[in-house]
This record gives sequence, C-alpha cells and structure tokens, in this order.
Amino acid sequence: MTTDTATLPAPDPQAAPLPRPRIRVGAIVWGLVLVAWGALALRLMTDEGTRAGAIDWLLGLSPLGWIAVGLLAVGALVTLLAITALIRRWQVRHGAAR
Amino acid sequence: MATKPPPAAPPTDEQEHDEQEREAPAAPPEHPFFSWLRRLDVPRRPGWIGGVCAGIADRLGIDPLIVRGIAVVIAVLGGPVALLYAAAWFLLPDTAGTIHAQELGRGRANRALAGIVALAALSLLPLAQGFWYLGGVYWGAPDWASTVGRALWTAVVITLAIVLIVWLARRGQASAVAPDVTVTQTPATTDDRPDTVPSQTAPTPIVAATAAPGADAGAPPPPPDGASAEELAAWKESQAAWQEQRSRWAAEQQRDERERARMERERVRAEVRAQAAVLSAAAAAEQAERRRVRRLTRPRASSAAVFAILGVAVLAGAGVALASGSSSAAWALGAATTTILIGAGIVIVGLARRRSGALAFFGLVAACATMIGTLLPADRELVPLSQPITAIPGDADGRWAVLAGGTTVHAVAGDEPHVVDLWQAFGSVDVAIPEDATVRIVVTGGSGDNYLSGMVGGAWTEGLLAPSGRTPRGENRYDATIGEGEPDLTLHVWLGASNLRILLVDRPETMPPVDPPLVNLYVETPDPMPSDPAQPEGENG
Repeated sequence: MTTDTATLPAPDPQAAPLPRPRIRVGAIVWGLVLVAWGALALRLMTDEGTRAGAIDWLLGLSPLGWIAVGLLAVGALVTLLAITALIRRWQVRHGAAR
Repeated sequence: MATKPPPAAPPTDEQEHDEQEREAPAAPPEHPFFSWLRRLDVPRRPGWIGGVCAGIADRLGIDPLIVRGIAVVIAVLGGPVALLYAAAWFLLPDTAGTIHAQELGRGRANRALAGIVALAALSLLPLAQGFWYLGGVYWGAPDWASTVGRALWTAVVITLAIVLIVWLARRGQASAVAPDVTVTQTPATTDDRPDTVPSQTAPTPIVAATAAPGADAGAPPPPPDGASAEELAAWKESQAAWQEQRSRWAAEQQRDERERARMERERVRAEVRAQAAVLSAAAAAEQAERRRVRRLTRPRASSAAVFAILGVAVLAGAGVALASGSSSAAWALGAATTTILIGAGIVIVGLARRRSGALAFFGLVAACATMIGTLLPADRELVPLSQPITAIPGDADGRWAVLAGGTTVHAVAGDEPHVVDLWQAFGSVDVAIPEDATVRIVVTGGSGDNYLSGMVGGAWTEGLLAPSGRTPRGENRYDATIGEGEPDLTLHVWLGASNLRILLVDRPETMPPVDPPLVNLYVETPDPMPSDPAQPEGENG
C-alpha cells in the first residue's frame, strides 16, 4: 500500500541536500480535532439527559441561531487552517535557515 | 518508361503542400480548455481500465489501490463514479498527451471511445445508481419521476458535454488551419494565369480544354497556314494521339506525386511520434524525480503503521458497541471510540514526521458516523437502511428509529392495548387501520400535512389532521383518535423531513369517528348524489 522510506533508492549524490521531513502540523491538528469530536460524542452519549438537551438546544435554535452556529463552525475551521499554515511557514523558514 | 513524354508537366507543389498541411499531425495550437486540462497535471497512466485512478493516485502520491478502493466504495454507495470515470477518461490526457475528446472533435475515433461510451451507458443503468435509485421511495417522491428525471438529466448533461467538446476541439483546429488558407491561395502553377499558357495556333476545342500549361513540348507541330484538308486531318490525328499519351503520363505523374506525399506524411508522423516519445520519457523522468524528492521530504507512514492504527481503532470500536447493547446508542459509542483512536493515531504519525492520507480519510468517515449516531435517538432499535419499506407491527409494543424510507405501521384490533414509538427522520409513515381497530396517533414535527385517506362507502375520502398544539421546540403536535372506544394502538411518531398518512384499509361502509375532526375534508362522489350519508364528518370540510 505505502512504501517505506527505507526501500527507496539512494538519492543522487550531486543533488542539493534535501530538507529533513518536518513534523506534520496539519495532521496533528486534524488528529486532535477527531479526538475532541469523539470525546464530545462519548460524553453526550453516556448521559442521555445531556444528549437530549443538546439536541433540543440545536433543534430549538432560531434561524439567527443556525446562522451563528454555521459562522462558528466556519470560523473555527478557518482559524485552525490559518494557525496550521502559520506553524508550517515557521517550520519551513526555520528549516531553510538551518 | 519508354512512353514517358518529355518532362514538361509542371510540379504539383500546391497539391502536395495542401495535403500535407491538411493531414500531417504537426501539433496545432489547441483551445485553451484542452491546455487547461493538460495543466491539471493529472495524466492517465497505464491502469486497469482507463488509468484514471492510477493517474489520480500518482498525482496525490498515494497507492492506486487506495483510489480504486475509494472509487468502488463510492460507486457501491450510489455515487456517479462510472459517469465521472468515463468523463475523466474522455477528457484527461494520457502520458503521451492524447486527449480522446480532442481526437474525437478532430474526427479521429479510437478504440478507447468504445470503453468510454460503455462506461457512460453503464452509469445510466439503475444498477449503477445504487442507493439513489430508490430515492423516490426514500424521500417520498414518486419513484418513476425521479428515475426518469435523473436519466433524462444525465442524457442532457452528456449531450451538452459532447457538443461543447466537439465545438471546442473544432474551434481549436479551425484557428490552427486558418493561416494556411492564404498560402494555398497563391498559385504555384500557371493554372490561374492563362496568359502565360502558350497559345495553340490550331483552334481545336479538345486541345484548348485539355492542354496543360507548359506541357506542349513534344506536341506535333501545327500545320502550316493554308494546309490542305488531308494535312489538317493528319495533324488532328497526331494531336489526338499526343493528347492521349500525355493524359496517360499525367495520371502516372499524379500517382507518383500521391505516393511521394503519402511517404512524406508518414515521415512527419513518425517524427512527431518520436518527439512525443522523447517528451513523454522526459516528463516521466521529471515526475519520478519529483516523486523521489517528495518521498524523501514528505514520507508516508508505513502501511504496517496505518493498518495497526486502523485495526486497533476498529477492534476497540466494535468492542465498545457490543458491550453497550443493541440500541442505536451502541453504534454511536463504537463510532466515537474509533474516531478517538484514529485521531490519536494521526497525531502520533504526524509527530513521527510521516503523513497518511488513508488515516485522515478513515478518520473523517468515523467522525461522520459518530455524528449520525449521536443524532439518532438512543433509546430505541435502529432499523437498518437495507430496505425501502419498513413494516412495523402494531400488535406489540416497540420503539423504533428509521432514518429514511417508507414505514408502514399495521394496527390490529385486540384485547390488549399496545404502544409503538416511532422516530422517522426522512421518508413517510403510513398507518394502516382496519375497520374494527381504534388508533390514537400522537405526531410531533414533520415537514408537511398529515392526512387520512381511504375508500369510504364507495367514495374516495381525504382529510387533514388538525394540529392540537405545539411542542416546546415549536413543532406542530397532532393528537387524534380514529375509531370508537379505547385505542388498540397508541402510536407516538416523531417526524423529521417527512409526513404521515392514515390509510383506511378495509373500504368501510361508514367513516370512522375522528377526534378531533379532520379539516379540509374532501369526498369524491362517483355518483350525482351531492352528499354522502356515510360521511358524518362532512360538515367539517
């Protein structure tokens, strides 16, 4: 399915030295989002009152409330992506300076 | 050749040049659309069918099997994969740069087109539309309407796409050929300049019609002025023989020219092919280098690590689900556990400076499953989506959750009252009530009218349930009892984007009492009688 780096052919010795693989910030953020999402679901499902309350709250939202929830989701996504991009930039610069 | 006349015929440069321009496959400028397709840099590669999955996998730097697997899964779930695949096969260039659409637009068809057409036709079959084929039943619309509509729409889209592509390809080609027109208008022979043709002194119509420019060498000398009739006849005879000889020569010459032009075309084609091969080899080498650098600077997690994480996550999720019972909450708990473990695996892999698209993808799937599981009511049995119509017995207590489809609840008259609680997100709910049964129906939510219908006393009767209040969430609430006495069945229904129908199934002679009465009662009388004695609720309409 995937190839390990160990099986790759040796790089051309004349080529410029390649930067070391960086820590995958995007993957870490995505993994943390998944963990948080699963944990939230677990918390909701283990207590029926909390779950029913959350669903009631969601279904009882006014149109303005739905828009606010949508904006919240979009805002969170944009912020996460931006922070990831910032860290990646810092990584790339840091790697180039070395 | 012994009969070859003197080389007086002019060269047919024009013809040669023209044909060469028309048929030589020298890469003409193309429409920006095709350039854009090439710039996407997703060339089809040698693969199983058209190489589309292999091309996408190569572009993403993942294994083709992953892309093929995802495509098959989406196809099984009813996504239009066959159609999209056919489109990609048709539009994407291969490694040599050939775009089938462009070739077809230029009037050149090849064998791959048969495969593309077959795949597109396959996508029109209901079989390939999977889940969505049953959409009409699931979402409450008449099924034939959605099937016909979808087939028509697909046909329209395909037709429009073909027209657009042919137009684009032709346009690109027309602009490529246009400049040559000015070249061919310049005469390369004396055909268009009759003044340069040596005049024939004898005014014979045959000669005037067939004489080729510059081809009079070797012609019999014209008879002198004042020649006798015999001399003139002899001259005519020799002139005719010469004409015949010359036309033979011209035909031969033309054949030679054609042969030369054909060989020249073949030479150009071979050259172009060789150039393409060199270019494609260079592109392949460049791509291999890119891939090598990518693998070194952005290595992937090993398949062992990916499978280990997925395996542990699935095992743990299934274990939690099994331990939590059989309600829909168990599925949500299992999915949540799987999501958490895949998320943790992604974090570990990321910290180890490895990337894994497969883990990210399966994490997304698990997160979606978790969300759906959380929204489902936790206190009841979830009916799987394996069938479009779900029958729920009305002679036993039960709590059910149905995501989509048509659900029928069959009420039964009996000694013992029963309570059925139904949660229906999409689709429709039918409650079938026989003549001798009494049913109390408590409905909350819903997106449309809830109504009762059936044949009563030979007339079609239909009326809406009257809302009896609102829930704290602001949903409509209906609480109606159909029939007399204590209810045999009390049915609680929560409706999402769905509505409820009550069907009188026994063709009763008289309308059962409905409390509160129906609104907008509609009775279709087949006979001229204005009022039906079997309709005690008629005045409520």
